Amino acid sequence: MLKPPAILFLLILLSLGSLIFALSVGSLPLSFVDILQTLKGNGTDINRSVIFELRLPRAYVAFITGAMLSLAGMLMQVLLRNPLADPYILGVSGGASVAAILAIAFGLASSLVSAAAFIGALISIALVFGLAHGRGSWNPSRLLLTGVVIAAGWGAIINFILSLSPDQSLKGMLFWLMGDLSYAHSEQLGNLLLPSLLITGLLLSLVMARSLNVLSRGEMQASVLGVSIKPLRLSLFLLASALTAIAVTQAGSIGFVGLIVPHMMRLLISSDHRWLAPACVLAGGSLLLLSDTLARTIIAPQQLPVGVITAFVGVPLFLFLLSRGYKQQVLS
Amino acid sequence: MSLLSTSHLNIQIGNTKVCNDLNLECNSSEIWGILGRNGKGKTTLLHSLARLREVESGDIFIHEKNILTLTRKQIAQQLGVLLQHHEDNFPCSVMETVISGRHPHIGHWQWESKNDYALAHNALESVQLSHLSERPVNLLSGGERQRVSIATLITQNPDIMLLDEPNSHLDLKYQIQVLETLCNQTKAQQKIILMTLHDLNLAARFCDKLILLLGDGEVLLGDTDELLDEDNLQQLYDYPIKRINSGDYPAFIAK
Repeated sequence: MLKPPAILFLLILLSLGSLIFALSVGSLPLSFVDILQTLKGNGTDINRSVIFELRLPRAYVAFITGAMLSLAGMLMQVLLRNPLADPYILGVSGGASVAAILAIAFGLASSLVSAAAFIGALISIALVFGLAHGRGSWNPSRLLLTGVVIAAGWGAIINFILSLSPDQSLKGMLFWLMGDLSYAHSEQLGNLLLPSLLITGLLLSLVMARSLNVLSRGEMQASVLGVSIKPLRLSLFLLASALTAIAVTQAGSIGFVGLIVPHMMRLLISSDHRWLAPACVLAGGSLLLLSDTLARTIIAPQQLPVGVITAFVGVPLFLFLLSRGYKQQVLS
Repeated sequence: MSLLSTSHLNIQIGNTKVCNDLNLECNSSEIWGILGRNGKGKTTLLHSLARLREVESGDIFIHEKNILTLTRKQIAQQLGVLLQHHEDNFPCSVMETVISGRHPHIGHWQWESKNDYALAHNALESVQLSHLSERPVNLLSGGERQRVSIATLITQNPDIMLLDEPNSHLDLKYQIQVLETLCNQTKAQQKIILMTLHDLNLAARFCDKLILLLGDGEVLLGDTDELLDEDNLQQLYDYPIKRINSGDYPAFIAK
């Protein structure tokens, strides 16, 4: 078994490898040398435009979105003390989806679709928070129930809108609902908001990391060991929701990344959140980047929704790690 | 010196009055037992003393400071609790669990030092679990899991230990050995223990003082020798109990 720093180093290599892979494959295959030349500024015009206009922006958004989703999933799992929690479990993506497909139904531009999604996510967060808080205590099962019920409500509204929508906007809506990165464009490369939000999220998670280790043993035990539960719970909820809202705004609701990556990393690196948080960022980013590269190349020139691929890649990988993890536990 | 005291403490849970105007004074090197029937509030009393729940009225003092003026972390540096239930939601090794006891003593950005790990190793040794330190906690037996929690508490190293049924899941040998270890350490380091117990024989053997929760807010405080007579026990458990004086400690059997 490798030590956590070594695993983290391998994950950095994996991230770089995924990036090179994403930049090189496509309708115009590029060699590693081509990519290096272009990034240095010496490439041909066509290479430059393929990399800077198409592949790099998309890779950039894919990596950051994947990283945010798996970090949010990790935080949500500790908040609810439920290994089955994912970033969408409390309805954040449902609210975003309703607003986004409404925007698509009205034929709004893609930037406005993203804005609508973000507002929808915020409304959903406020709703769940207000209702779960109520007058009584704020325990995980109440939060979970409120979130799940609200998510179900959003689901019904989504189906309602879908059933009334004309055929020509239906495909766009479905792609959005399954998670799609084809909206990424070159201006996003200059936008430093996304990476700074990701880094802030990671730093905040690291600040809370040891408290999260204690919190995963239950709120009562965490209190006994000196953790002030209420502020920690609130920060966890807000941070996980904000990360999810931003990720959903970028790429729609991409499934599996936020559920599977934190799990895989717990099996691979440890349950110590000081290692787990950076590992989730690197692995989640790589998984989504690789999946998106496959999504746009497997049946090119047609594109698949990336959410389909994350499930295809994630499920067998996860099952493999799970069976291996159990074997190790039994033998140790 | 009084490590833990209460003044005019009122505790109620639901419709059950646990104690009424309780004035408790626990001094260093004392082992206290809390006895009572199911649902009379033993655990509630422990949780209240650790400020894990609000009390109806009255004050609690740790090292003569009102507990309401202390932060959660300051409380955790001086007072530890062995809870009745242990949650293991995610995969985690025995050592990772035991080292979490150092949490209140380590700064925000600090990692556990060699000294912290040495404390954890010693704690594991004192509950005879050194050989399992890398084992995932979810593969332990009930008794082993209970000893891991006790080791976590020893690693936390508080002046005041509140134990909620410390002997649950433990076999006869460990019931005696673990309590002996905890009580000897406590006496040697002039700390205190308060523990809820259902076993009168253990109470008679280890506790200097007792708190009997009779119900309806009625509480008897006093020395173990004086309180454990057949009349009090009949009243406490609503069942006749025979006291047999034999050997070093009295023995109790239900009639």
